[in-house]
Amino acid sequence: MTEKLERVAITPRNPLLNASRAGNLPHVPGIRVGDYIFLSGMVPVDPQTGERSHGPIAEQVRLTLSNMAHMLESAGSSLDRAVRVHVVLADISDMAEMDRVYREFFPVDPPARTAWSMQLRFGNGCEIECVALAG
Amino acid sequence: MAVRGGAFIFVSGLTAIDPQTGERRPGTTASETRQILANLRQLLEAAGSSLDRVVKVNVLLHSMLEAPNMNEVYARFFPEPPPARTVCGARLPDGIKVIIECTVLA
Repeated sequence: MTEKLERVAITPRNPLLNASRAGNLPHVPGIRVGDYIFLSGMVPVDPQTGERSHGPIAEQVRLTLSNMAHMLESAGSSLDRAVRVHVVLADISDMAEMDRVYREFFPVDPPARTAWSMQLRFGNGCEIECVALAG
Repeated sequence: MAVRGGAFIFVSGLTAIDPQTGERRPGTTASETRQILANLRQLLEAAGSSLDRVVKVNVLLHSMLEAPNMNEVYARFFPEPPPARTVCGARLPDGIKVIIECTVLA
């Protein structure tokens, strides 16, 4: 029997990005287990204020991915260690714009990705989650 | 319903099912959430794991307006710290109001 893995909750260095905890929602921003980090769906939040920021979709995607980078770095990982990403858009016609910004963040060897459209909350234009390698 | 792969258990999207009969048990978003998580607890314990080893949850709701009703029930099932999670609204089949899938440590 191998050693039992344990769950470790991830806390962003910037407490304003700890949106789920601040909103008293029953989830943490991410969990690390062994070699993997599982992030909750992240939405466009201004890291200066902690408020949702609903500019053009390109801006929302950029904000979300830079917050995701912060979250992974807080856990000792980084965007280039992401292995699988899910991008959920409120409006499927934002796909091309999302993709354009997305490529800026993953210029080489991007992770596996699936993108689709669903109903999102609070007027968010995108919600992005990932699984990344720890360390 | 669930597959063990190495250190992880991958659980299919669960809907509100009566564990005695296997029949669907349609209800409110809150009652479907309660039924699903009660069944999930049973399923995980039968597999030698438990709710406090859940790592990542995906919740699909028929309407995001119901998210607070789901959250209220959901919060009672998971000890601190709760798992990572994503909640989205989706068109679900057959009048289903809630689907919950998750990844769990074995």
